[in-house]
Amino acid sequence: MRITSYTYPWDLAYMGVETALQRMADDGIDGVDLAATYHPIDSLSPRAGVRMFSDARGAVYFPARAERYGRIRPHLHSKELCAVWPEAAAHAEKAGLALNAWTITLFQPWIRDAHIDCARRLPSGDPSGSGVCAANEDVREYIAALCDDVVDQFGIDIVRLEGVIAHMFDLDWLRPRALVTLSPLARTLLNVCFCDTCTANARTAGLDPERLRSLVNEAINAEIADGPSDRSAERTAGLAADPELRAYVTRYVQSSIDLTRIVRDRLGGRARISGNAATPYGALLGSEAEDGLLAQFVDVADQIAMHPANPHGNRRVTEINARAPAPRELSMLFARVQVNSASTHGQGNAEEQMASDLDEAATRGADEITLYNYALLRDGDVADFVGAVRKAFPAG
Amino acid sequence: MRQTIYAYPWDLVRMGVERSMQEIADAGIAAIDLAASYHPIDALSPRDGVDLFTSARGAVHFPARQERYGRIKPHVHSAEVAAAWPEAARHAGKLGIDLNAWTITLYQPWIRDAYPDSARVLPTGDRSGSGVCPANDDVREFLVTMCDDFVDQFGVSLVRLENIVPIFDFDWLRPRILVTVPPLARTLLNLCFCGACTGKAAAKGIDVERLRTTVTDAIAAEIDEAGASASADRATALAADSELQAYAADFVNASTELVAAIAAPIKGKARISANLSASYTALLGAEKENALIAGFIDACDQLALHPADPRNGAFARMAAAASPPREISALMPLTGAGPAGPGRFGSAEARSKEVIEMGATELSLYNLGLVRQRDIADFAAAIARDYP
Repeated sequence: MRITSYTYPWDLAYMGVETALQRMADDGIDGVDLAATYHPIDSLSPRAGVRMFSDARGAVYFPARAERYGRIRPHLHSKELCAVWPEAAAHAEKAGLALNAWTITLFQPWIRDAHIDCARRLPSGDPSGSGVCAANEDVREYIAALCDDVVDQFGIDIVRLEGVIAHMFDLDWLRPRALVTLSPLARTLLNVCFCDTCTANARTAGLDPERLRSLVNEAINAEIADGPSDRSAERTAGLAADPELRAYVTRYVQSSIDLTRIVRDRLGGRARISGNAATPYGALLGSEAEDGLLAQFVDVADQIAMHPANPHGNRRVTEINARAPAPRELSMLFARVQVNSASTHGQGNAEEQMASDLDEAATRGADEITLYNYALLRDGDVADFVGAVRKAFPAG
Repeated sequence: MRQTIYAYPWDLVRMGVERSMQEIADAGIAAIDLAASYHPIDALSPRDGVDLFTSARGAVHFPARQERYGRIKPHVHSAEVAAAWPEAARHAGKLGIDLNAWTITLYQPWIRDAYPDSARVLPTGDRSGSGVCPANDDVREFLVTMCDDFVDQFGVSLVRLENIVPIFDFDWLRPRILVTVPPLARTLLNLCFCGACTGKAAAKGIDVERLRTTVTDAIAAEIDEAGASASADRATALAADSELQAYAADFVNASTELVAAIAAPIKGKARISANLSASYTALLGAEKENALIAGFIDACDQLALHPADPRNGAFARMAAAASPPREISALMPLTGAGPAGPGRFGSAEARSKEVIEMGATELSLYNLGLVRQRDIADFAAAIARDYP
């Protein structure tokens, strides 16, 4: 079992890049998933004294070469933090760690702020405050150029594409204020993007996006007005029977698959691609059509990333993967792990949760476990975690 | 039971100011708490079709008069949204509704971005990503001027000062904290070590760098070590540090001083409401902290209780014991009304009963544009029926 760990460049800077990477290697970690781009965050690290890092609108954290990009130019955080990347590349190799590029894709508010036409748009017409659309050509070109740039400079093993599918319309909203209950159907519909690119592409395909927008908005409003009711199932069935809506939603999912494919083609085998296989539109598409999309996600990636809290989805994806002509490697993300219950300050179920997650990884045949997040945990927590994984998956 | 209702100016603009004010009046609600300044937000309104309003770093939402301000000039969101204010004031007058100014005070990232020296600073030396310090003179001048500005323009009845006592991780952006931060570490992380706080402490002869080291060592040890007994020993040792006590007391007093400074120029024109949040009992002891809280309450005309705060009962008793007793208001999220179901604050009905039994004479419904019209009407009618 290979173990990698997510890490922030700012934490490596605090801790000392060489020291931190050597410690990771000494802890038994095989690869470092270093953030190449990141979204807004307030993070607190207990390493090197408690440190807080704050970034309001996200940024690029490696020394991206602006001249290689198109309309969207990378917004670099700071020279100081970008300097971590070349240093990390040098020391990772020395320490025997693989270097992976943890790449936040669509949740990049700085792009949305600078290029509002790239923003996803709710069916209401309001632009997302944080996310850009996978169908937008400038966004696609930017993400492909970015991945190419980081791989070209640093000899990356895996590019971890995070959030290529906008699966939640309200993902990590800023101080969210939504007091009404949104039914699953309303949430599904709010995820559908009506940006200019999506609507124009739909028109080209012979769809009527304005009719669809009205249809979707009416359904959302009715769901909210009714509150929880039996009418939701009836409404879902009605919408699922609309071939144009199904086609529109399918195109939206495929835009994320296309984006992954564009990145893969740009990299041309110089690094592997890791991504999720998921769609939020099962209720509209039905399981057969959704399985077809999941198979496409599997096809365009080299590795499929899973989460232990989603056993149903994991089973489905691993079954699809097993049927693929060349099954992909499977990775499992472990977050909030503090194995030693004595050090969890009352989180008494940590050991049970860890055992359950390890069982899920074994059941799905994961090849890799990814720890979130090295510097957000205490030194002892990481050592305990690696020990538990090695015990569950002995070498050989 | 008096009822008021929080509202966003952008929702009034979208829904129609006159129509919204009429709706409030028709529900028997006595006042609108209209946001004059606001923090970052992604707000989803279910009114007149779903609408998303997003503001990344907060803003001022009334037509502030730039020439009245000092170093910190108000960052006005847009003329369109700010235009809700004069119109709301006009209709409030016509309808006999009070106009209150819901004022976000320290959680104003736009100030922190434009004037980094005004940011709160954690004991580690890291700047808050969002909050500014009540001890900072420019921040004080800005807030005093701003409150005077909208009271002067719009005849505001009550200024609701929100969160003028800061908490270190209040509404962080996409927070990533994987370790448990024990209560003592949280208390210590709330302390500010910005230039204003450290400068004032140094002027009093306090050894700030020694304190900073004491505090950061204790935070690191709290996070690193398990066990309540070690934490209790540590708390005892810290509480015996007279310089640390003085430093923490000064930080609480910075908020009280700011409330008093805001109240002074608008005295007789508008009343002041404020809420309490952070606690320093672990460092100060209950008696000393209660004296500081009493001072804070004395600076206000009304004490606002926020839902689910376990100290609400104690705060209410102190407000009642003040001379003269201070009015008690309670923020009432309507997440429990109608089909929304009980949210993290429990049902609105249960919360109302609880705070009314504590002595609240006013409920501030949250929030006009965020819930359905009938949820507000139903709740307001039920309160009017049950607590006439």
